[in-house]
Amino acid sequence: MKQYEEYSVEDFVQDENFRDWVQGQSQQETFWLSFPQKYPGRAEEMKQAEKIIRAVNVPSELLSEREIRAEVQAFLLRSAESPAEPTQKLPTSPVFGFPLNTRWAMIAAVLTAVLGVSWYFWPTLATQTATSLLAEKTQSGLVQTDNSTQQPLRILLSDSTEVVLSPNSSLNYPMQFSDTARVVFLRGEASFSVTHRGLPFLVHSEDMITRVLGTKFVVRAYHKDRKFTVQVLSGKVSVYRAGVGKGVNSKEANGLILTANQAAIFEKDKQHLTKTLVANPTVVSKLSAEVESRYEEVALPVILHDLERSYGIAIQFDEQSLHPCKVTATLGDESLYQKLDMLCKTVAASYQIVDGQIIISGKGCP
Amino acid sequence: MTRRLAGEEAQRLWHEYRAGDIYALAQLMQNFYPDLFSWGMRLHADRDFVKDCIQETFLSLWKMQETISSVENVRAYLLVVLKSRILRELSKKNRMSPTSISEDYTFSVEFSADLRLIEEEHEVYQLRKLEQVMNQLPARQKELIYLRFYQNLSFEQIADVMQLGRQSVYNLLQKSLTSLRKNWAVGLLLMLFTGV
Repeated sequence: MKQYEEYSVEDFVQDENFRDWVQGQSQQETFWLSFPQKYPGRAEEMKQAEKIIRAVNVPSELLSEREIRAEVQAFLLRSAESPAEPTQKLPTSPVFGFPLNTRWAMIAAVLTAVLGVSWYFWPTLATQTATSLLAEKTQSGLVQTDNSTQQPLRILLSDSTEVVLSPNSSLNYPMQFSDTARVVFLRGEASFSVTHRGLPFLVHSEDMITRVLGTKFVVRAYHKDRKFTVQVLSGKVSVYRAGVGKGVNSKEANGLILTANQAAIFEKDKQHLTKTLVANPTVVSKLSAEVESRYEEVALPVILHDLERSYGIAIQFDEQSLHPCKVTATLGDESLYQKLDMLCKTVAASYQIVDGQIIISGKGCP
Repeated sequence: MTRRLAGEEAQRLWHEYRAGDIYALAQLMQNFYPDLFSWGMRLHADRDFVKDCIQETFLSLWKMQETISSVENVRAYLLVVLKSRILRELSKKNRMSPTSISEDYTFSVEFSADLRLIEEEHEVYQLRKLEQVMNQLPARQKELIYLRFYQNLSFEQIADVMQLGRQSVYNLLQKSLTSLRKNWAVGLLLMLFTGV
């Protein structure tokens, strides 16, 4: 390396450390500030070199941090949507030959004031607060609705999906869904009634993604919580970790499929998904018009199968050992767990919830 | 403006992106966006066009996530990739043959001296003169100076971006700096003689 005493103007200019300092990106402020004192013979060359570096300056392109963030958000949104060959499926813009995306569609729409939008999974970005019911438009075409009231807030999406947003929650969604997938971003908690459109509906909440075709479910994903949950009321839902593998199919292979009354718990630190049941299982398919079911001296397995069908939850038990158990009971509108408690008590059995299923164990009946 | 990511940080994010983490790729996009945008605008001064090219670049990077290899310098690689995409899209627009990409493009930049913290009048004058001389250089030399001193690329990386041999890059740079100093000196002398 050349000695500093022999530095010419070119040498300074070619020295990346020196350039960093002139451009204000340096870690070695004091070194260069005291350089003229240490090497007075080089002071003139240093000054000239500094001028050259300063002259090679390009005015910054009036690109705000906000605009950049909007572009990155649009990228994330589109990456979640794109199938293997996007250019084949999407109509192309006549001007640029790009596939038309939501951003182009949005530019044609009416714009409201652009305010900063933050992504909760990036702690380095500044957060912005909006008034509770005001929906804002970002340049990427995503609307953000915050609920800072104490009441649930109902939102209707462009595909007629209904979202009920809990207090202290916010939802980002496009004004118009694309024709490849429907993607929204949730912070906090919301319950969704997704319409069947033949298109997948995805809810992104930090590292967890919930994917459905048409169904009812609740996602609870407050940033401060260590565990996120997804509870399914009806339909079929798949829940998986973001960033695992690539492409929608491989992600699902590493996730969980939930049916009605099942739930998923996502532990953030361990990035771990487990299946369980919802807190209050509800009847998904009535067996008869009767509100009550009367059983007189009926074999327990029969009752258990009825419960399986009503609630859509698998119940595992030993058919043979429980077959001799005859039960007389009236089951009404108690919760599923209450019914199970009652049934198990009559035959000295117990039940557990494992992996979204109910397992009954007992000695059986004489 | 936030600081550019250091080489190692960028490498770490690149590695995570290759492992399947889209947010790592998004963070690279976020941090390098100003450099990429500035670079794009030099090639075709249309904001929406450049933004779209950057989008498409990152989207195709994500599609290639499983097969893409590691790179020596992430930022330099992104600049090269963005340039090819811009030129490809431009040639589509102009309906030129898609193979003739590299030569026919105009690099345009207007240097504007960084005058922050300069108070002395004569210093400001010198900087403006230098800026003038710089802006009169041939486009190829301007591009070289821009890539070397503004984007801080190495000779190898510049060779990639400008499609030149490494030695040619070095020689061209020496030539530019010499003519710069000569013209600048001439400008200063004129100032002395005419008392401007």
